[in-house]
Amino acid sequence: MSERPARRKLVLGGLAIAGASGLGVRLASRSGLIPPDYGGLFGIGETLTYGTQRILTARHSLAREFDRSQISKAFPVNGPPPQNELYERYAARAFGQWRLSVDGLVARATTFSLADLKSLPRRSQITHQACEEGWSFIAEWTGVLLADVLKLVGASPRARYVAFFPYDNNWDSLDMADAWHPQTLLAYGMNGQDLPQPHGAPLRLRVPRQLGYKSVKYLARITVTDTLKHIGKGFGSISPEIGYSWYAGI
Amino acid sequence: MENGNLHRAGVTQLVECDLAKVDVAGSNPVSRSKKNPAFHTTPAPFPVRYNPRTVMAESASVQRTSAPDSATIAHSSLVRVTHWIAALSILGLLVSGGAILVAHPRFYWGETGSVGTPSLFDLPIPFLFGHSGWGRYLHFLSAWVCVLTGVVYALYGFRTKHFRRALLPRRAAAPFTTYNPVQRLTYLVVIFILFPGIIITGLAMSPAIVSVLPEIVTVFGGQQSARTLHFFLADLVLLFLLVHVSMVVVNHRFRSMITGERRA
Repeated sequence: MSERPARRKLVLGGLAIAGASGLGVRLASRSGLIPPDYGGLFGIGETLTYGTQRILTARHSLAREFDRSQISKAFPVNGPPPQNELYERYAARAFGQWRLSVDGLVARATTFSLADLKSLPRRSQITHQACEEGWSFIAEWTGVLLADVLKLVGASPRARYVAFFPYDNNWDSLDMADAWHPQTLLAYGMNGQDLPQPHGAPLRLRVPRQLGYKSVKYLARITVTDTLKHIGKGFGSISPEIGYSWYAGI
Repeated sequence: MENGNLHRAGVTQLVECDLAKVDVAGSNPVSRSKKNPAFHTTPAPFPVRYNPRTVMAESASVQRTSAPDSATIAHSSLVRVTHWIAALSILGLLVSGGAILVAHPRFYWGETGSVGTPSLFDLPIPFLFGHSGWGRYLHFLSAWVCVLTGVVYALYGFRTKHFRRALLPRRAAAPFTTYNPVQRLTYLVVIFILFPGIIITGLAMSPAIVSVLPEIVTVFGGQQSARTLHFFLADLVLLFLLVHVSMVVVNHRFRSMITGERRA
């Protein structure tokens, strides 16, 4: 006698939960709380992390900045510079011919020389960078705010991501929360000098609220977009394709 | 029947039901209870319910169980379910933590540290790359499962006074409860010091969390200090796990965390 209403309750409760979570996922997706690599079992953990941290960091929370005296003694790198003929040619001539192109959902697609970027308002920040492997260093980075470049090219309000393409395969993307962030830098200088080649010369991204691998080196092109589905395998960066998460705020 | 006789009958059943006698306060609880006059006069400190299948062992109602063959519940279903989900997630955390660790088995103190700077200590294993990808995915998924399960368990524990009854060390007040004072203290340390500590040191390594709450890392003296402490706390969890599983095996207590009963 008592079993049937209990079972009905269970079924109805299950349906209600399924419906609510379906609605929740749709709402979360619209408000930018679902990462592009949300699929699979591990995607559940990634989505919880990304969604929670996006809510917590919603007010442009700032990464810590340090004193010059705290700058590290060693600055290790992973991986060599691009084995790319064009890149090597630019590098051989001190990147005088190098250009950064910015395109996609922008009013004015633009190419910038290194001198163009250096003529824009410059920002220096001494921040902590941790590698996913476990080691870390503090360095000073000098460059132009990505936000300033996005304003200059007239990024569309429809933009949801900014994708970064280097001279090697390590492309990546940021959501607009990080793209407009006041510490997200296109860096051409490190510790008071031109960016050394192993650290991404002539221009690299610096995203101090995420692990080191999000800070793409050796930049060639930046694309503003409303979807990542058609870039690579659609996971937002090379990282999920080789087994690492797109979002690295951990 | 006099109240004291009723209590003593309960003791006899308990000892008969659990030949290992691990649940009772002394090796000879009946004679010990005789020496303790408070025991005979102290009423149950909280309301007693009579359905033995739904009442936990730490409830004093065990004393009132009248049928000699009635099963005694050792762990409530919520404790059992959260226990096994947590067990699975902790296993996931330890395995994946190892997979992440081997990419850089060196430890530092302060904000920074890398190859080329002095370490606090080096583990005697080679650097092993290529496992931190799945390691990190599994680590954070398991961490979410573990933390959410822990939140459910903690809310339950406070609401039902489970922590106070079953885990707060005390002397004569509850002679039939499951754990001795050392066990109680160990569980409390694991639940209220080890786990919060490991969660906080873990979050202290997150640049996004640190941007919201910088104190979470400065309190430890830096990101590398937090990483080192996270490693030591994980070692303590591993140590607890080994002792815990050994004691379960030695005392044949495995079944009670599945069925909820002391002996089937």
